[in-house]
Amino acid sequence: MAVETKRPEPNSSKLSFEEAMRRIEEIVAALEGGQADLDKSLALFEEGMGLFRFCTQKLDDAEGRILMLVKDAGGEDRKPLVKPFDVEESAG
Amino acid sequence: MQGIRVYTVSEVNRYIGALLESDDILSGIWVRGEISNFNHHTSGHMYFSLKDEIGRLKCVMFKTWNSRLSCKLEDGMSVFAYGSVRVYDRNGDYQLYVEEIEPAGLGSLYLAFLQLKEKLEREGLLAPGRKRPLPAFPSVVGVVTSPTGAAIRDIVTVLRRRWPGVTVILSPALVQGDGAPESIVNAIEAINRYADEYHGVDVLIVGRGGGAIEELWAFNDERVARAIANSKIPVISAVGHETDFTIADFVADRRAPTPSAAAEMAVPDVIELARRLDVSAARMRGAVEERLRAHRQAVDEELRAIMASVDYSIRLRREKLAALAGRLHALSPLATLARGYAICRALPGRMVVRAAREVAVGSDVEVILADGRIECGVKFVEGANENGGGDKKAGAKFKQAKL
Repeated sequence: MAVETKRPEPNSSKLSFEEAMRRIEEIVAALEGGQADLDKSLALFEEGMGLFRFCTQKLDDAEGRILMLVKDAGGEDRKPLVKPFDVEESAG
Repeated sequence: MQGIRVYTVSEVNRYIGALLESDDILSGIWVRGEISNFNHHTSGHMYFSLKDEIGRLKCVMFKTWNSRLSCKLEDGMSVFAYGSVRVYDRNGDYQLYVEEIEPAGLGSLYLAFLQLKEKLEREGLLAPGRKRPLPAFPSVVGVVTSPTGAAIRDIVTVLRRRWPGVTVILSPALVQGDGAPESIVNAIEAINRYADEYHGVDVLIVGRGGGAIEELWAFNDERVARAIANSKIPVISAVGHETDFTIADFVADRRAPTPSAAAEMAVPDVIELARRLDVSAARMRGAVEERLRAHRQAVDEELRAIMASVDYSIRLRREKLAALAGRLHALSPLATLARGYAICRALPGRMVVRAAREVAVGSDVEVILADGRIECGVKFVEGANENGGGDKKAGAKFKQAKL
């Protein structure tokens, strides 16, 4: 398997969690396969650990919000709006 | 009775029979009722009545038809029966000649359900190939349900516990009552518009909490089914009933038995993922350490090989040297001297004296012994080849010299 080494860019906002996870699995497979030479292995390892920190960080940040779509009063071309939605308050 | 047309019994029965058979409705009709007086005759035919609160209708289901029944009939069972109403000539009774029976736990709605399902199936909307995969790590989850029901609370609770970073967008809808189907359709369309406008909603949960099956009926509505099929966001149906499927379940990309289960399907579990990540990290470390260890070992081995080859060449040379030294020793005159021989050299030139004539009387010679040397004066010389007859005398003189 030809696995190219990439510069680890864990802070790139373009990188999605999904891509990072996939890349980690690729790297694990490449490292365990043992085909890459030592220098490349070390570069892969460095990249993998960068991605690992990136993913772990993503898991830790809990910035999700709870929103509700608000009926757009102004017809078809009005952009849909959202407002915060309080689950506890709505219960009942 | 002249002038009056009199009919035979058979004629009347035949006439009524012909009337019924020419009737569009009676020649192919679905009848809902409860089975009573059920009798599976030894002939294989089935005789029973269908009844409701007021009346009853005699039925016969011939062997050729009842062999295809998917369920076992018994008294008290509520069914839909399909067939034609005709007259039995022998006794003038009209009865339903049944060709097909469906159990009708839910009344006419159930029939509508079956027909809609069949219709959508023919259109290909239920095809497995239409099902889209759900995103593995969604960041925005849409929910179409009531803003006041238990469903939204259950969904939000599960989503936040499993995937704390997730944003939930509720697109509120009525989920029961007459206006429900339209409201659900609007809500599905609204969240799709929102997804278009902003950068997306990754997955959509459409549903409501459990209830009596009649309360879930909005999810068997054709408009709702089509709105789900048309949704650009992958849909998980979550109509809170473990056992009964709704049309929405068939059209959705995935079916969840409850809203909580839908939330679990929609997002991964952060704890499970963290564990997976740790395992990956450990595997990476392990692989690299193993790699380095192997590398170090290879270097060690190489080094050892080099050392061994150096040792060998040194030993080889030492052995050669010892052999040479042995030969040198064997050739050395010193060994001979140790056995009692001596070397005589003429002084002062220190030329080795090999023949008596090489020295003259009165000159000096040096005699080398194993442990030292002696300087001597020559008193007498007698050579073997000097002048023939003088051997004896010379021998005596030599002896003297030696002493």
